[in-house]
Amino acid sequence: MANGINQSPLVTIDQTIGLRSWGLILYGALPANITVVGTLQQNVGKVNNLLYLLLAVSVIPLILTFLLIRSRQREWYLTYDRLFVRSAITTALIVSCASLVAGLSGVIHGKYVVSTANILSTPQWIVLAESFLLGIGSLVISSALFITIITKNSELPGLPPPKLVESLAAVREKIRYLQASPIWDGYIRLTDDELKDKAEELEDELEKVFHFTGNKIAKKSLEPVRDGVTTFIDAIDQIQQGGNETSKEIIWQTYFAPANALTEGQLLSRSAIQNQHLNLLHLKELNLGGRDV
Amino acid sequence: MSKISYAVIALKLNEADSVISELRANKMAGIADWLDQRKDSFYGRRSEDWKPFMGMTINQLLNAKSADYKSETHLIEALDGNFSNINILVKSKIEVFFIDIFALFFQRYKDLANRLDLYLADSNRKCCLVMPYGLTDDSSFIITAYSQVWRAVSGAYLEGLFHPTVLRADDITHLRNYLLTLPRLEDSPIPDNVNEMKQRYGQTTQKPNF
Repeated sequence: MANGINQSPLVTIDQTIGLRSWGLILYGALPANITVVGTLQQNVGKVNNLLYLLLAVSVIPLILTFLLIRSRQREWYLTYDRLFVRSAITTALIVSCASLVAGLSGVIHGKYVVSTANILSTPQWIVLAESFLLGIGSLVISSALFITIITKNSELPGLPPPKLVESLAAVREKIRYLQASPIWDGYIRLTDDELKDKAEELEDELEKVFHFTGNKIAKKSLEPVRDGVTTFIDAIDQIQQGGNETSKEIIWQTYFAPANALTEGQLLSRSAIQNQHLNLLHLKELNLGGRDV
Repeated sequence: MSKISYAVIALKLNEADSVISELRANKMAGIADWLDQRKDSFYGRRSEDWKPFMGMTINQLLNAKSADYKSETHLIEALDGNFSNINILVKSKIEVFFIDIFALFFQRYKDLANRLDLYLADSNRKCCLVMPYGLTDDSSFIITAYSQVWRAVSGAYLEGLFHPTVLRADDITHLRNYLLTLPRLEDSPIPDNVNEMKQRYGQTTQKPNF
């Protein structure tokens, strides 16, 4: 990961495929199950003649599903890292599961036969296309639960709980405040404790998240953020303790200045707090996107 | 009350070999060997990492009982090669400098002493020479080196100003407690300001007449 902060592989996988919201795939594929029990029968018509047209049209609900999933994923994670990939993979998994269920439904009801012969033949492609369209159709036709899940906070298994989502929103907003501070760009006189107070509020908000039960992956992903905030508060403390403005500025340089602006002696001081410096850089460069609407 | 600021003038580990060579060149082989055996336990990457007694840094020794001291050693680290920014030390609030005896033999710290010697001797600041006990049976070489490098400070000591030498951890403990009883640097007239007042209002020996 950037800036030398080693991210846990589990956190990377979570950011890539949406582990903490695994339930979304099940709730997305659930409507397709009603075709299995035969309570819903969709008449796709002669797919082979209109295949390309139908596939092109089916892109619209696919894109809509992707956008809705992306919107929720944005709230379930602190940063925007891998948001597109995660949303695309989640959407693909949901559609694949729904298509698979629709295809199995066809097998159960005798419409399709399982065969490994001529796996790339036109009839096979037509079956796949029909299953795909039925899967998309099930999402569109009977997806009240799915739409509720991806548009509203819900306390459902397999999804991040609403209180975590609220805390993440609060943490995100406070981090944005710190990121916007001019302290990152140059030494500023800290005439009051406002910046430190904001950082301490952020620290408290993070502690709330760490006290939630469960949500281990979410907490793991926030550990570097917590370290960054702790270091930020320490840095401000050290700066404020400087004997005069020159001393304070030198302390600021040790924590915040780029390495190429430091003297040889200061580089040694920086090496003693290298981990803390990396934590600060990590905090500064968190990809939080624009303001939450 | 605000913390007392101090700074450490001490070797870094990568400077120790140079000093050992210098000591041997000056026919102080016994002291050179003594240092060579202990340099890894004494020194670290920064001057602040110096552990003169009991494996403890000056910061740990001073703040063992309560956090009354804060380090401003970063001001020394921020000095450039030719000390053109020496003012950052002169105008600092550092009240006591702890000087590693072996730093006397490293050229950069000799040059630093040259720049600071008169100023520190004449100000309300204190220089504390740290000389590990048991270093040598004959400490005359070391004391001579100190007197040559920090000439004005040594002279000020003889005239009664407070520039002590410490030989063991208890001495630093005594020093840290004693310094807390003395008037603070911020309570004393700043020489620059006193000089400016004299220039503006003139020197007078008359007592005010009420």
